Amino acid sequence: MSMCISSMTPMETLDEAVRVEFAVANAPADFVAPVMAGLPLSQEAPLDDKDRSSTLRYLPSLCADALAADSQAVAVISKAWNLYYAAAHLLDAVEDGDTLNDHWASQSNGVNINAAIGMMTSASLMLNKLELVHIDPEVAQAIRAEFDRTVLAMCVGQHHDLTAQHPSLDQCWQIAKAKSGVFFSLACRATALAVGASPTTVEQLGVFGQYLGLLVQIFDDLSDLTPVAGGRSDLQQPHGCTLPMAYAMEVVSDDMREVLERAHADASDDVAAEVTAREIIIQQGALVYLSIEAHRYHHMAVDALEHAVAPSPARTVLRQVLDMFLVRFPTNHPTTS
Amino acid sequence: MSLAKLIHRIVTEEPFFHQFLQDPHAVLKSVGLMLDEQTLIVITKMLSSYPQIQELYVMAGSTIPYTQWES
Repeated sequence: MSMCISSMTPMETLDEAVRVEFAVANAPADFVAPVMAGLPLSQEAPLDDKDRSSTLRYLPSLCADALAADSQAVAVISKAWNLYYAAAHLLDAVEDGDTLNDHWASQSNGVNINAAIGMMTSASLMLNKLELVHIDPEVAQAIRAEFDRTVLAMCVGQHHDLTAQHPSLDQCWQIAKAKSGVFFSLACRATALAVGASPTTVEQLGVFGQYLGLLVQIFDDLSDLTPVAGGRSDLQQPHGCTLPMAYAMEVVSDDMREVLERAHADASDDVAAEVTAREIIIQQGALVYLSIEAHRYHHMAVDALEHAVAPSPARTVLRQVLDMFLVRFPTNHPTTS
Repeated sequence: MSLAKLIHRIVTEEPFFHQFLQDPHAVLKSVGLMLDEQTLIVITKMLSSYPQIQELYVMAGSTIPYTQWES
C-alpha cells in the first residue's frame, strides 16, 4: 500500500480503503483479484446484442446520465451493485449446477461460493464508505438499506426457486420478481437516491428497473430452453422454476401433463426426452404467451422511464437496453431437428 | 380464465384463433377475461403478424438458439 491517502481522489480513497480491509484480513492476491475484477468503468455502455449482460452492468451509470447527474457516488453504487450482480450470478450458477465461464470454471464450488461471499462483503464495505464521496449520512443509510432489503428479497426468491418442487406459473412470476425484478430496480433506485432525485423519480425509475428485470428473466428463460453448443438447457435441470415450463404445466391437459412430466424427469440424461419436453412446451404456446408478457412489461417500462426522466440521449440508450431484451417471434422458421 | 389459458386456447384451437382475431372483445367477454386495452393491442398485433398458428408446430424441437431469432 504505497499510495498516500491524502493525495487521492475520493474514489481512489474508497478503492484503497477496501483494499486495506483485504490487507487487514490477510486476503491473498488470488482471492482479491477475482473479487475486485471485472467492474465496468468505461464511459459508454456497449449496446451489444451478443453480450447483453455486459450492457446491463452499466445500468447505474446510464440512469445517472439520464438524470443529468455527475456524482462520484454513482461510481460507488455501480461498483457495489456490480459486485452483488457478479456474486448472485456465481451463486446461482453453482446452486443450479450450470456451466461457469472464465476464471470460475476451473475452481471448485467451495472456492466459488467463498469468492461470492467475498464480493458481497466488499460491496458492503464500499457502501459503508459512501460518506467518503460526500453523500449525506441519512441518504447513505437509505441506500444501504435499499441494498440490504433487496439482497434479502433475492435470497428468499432463490430459496423458493431451489425448494419448490412444482412451482405454479404464478409462483414462477413471483420468484422472477423477487430475484430479477428487485435487483434491477435496486440499480435504478439507489442511483436516483445517490444523486438527490425526487421521491417520485426514485419510484418511477425503480418501476422501470423492475420491468427491465422481468424482461431479462423472460429472455433468459426462453434462451435457456434450447441448449447452446456444449451447454445444458434448463430442461435438463430436474428442479427449479422456469417460465416456459411453468406455463406449459399450467395449461396442458392432464394426459399431456403426464407426458411432459415424464419427459422432463428423463431429460437430464436423455436427449430425446429433452426434445419431447421442449416440443410440448412450444406447441402449447409458451413462446406466444411469454412474447406477449414481454411486450406488456416493455410497454410499462417505457412508460415509467418517460415519466421518470426528460428526453435525452441517455434516455434513448436506456430505451435501447429495453429493446435488447424484447422477446421476438422468429421470422425464419426453424426446421424440426 | 387467465391470460395463459387464453393464449393456450388460441394456440391450440385454430377456429378459436380466427374468432379471436375477428372480434377479440367478444371472445374475451365469452371467456370472462378482463384485459386492459394495451394488452389486447399487443396480443392482436402479435397474432395477426403471425399468419399461421400451425407454424408453431414447425418450431417444435428447434435447435436454433432463441437469441438468433430475428424481429
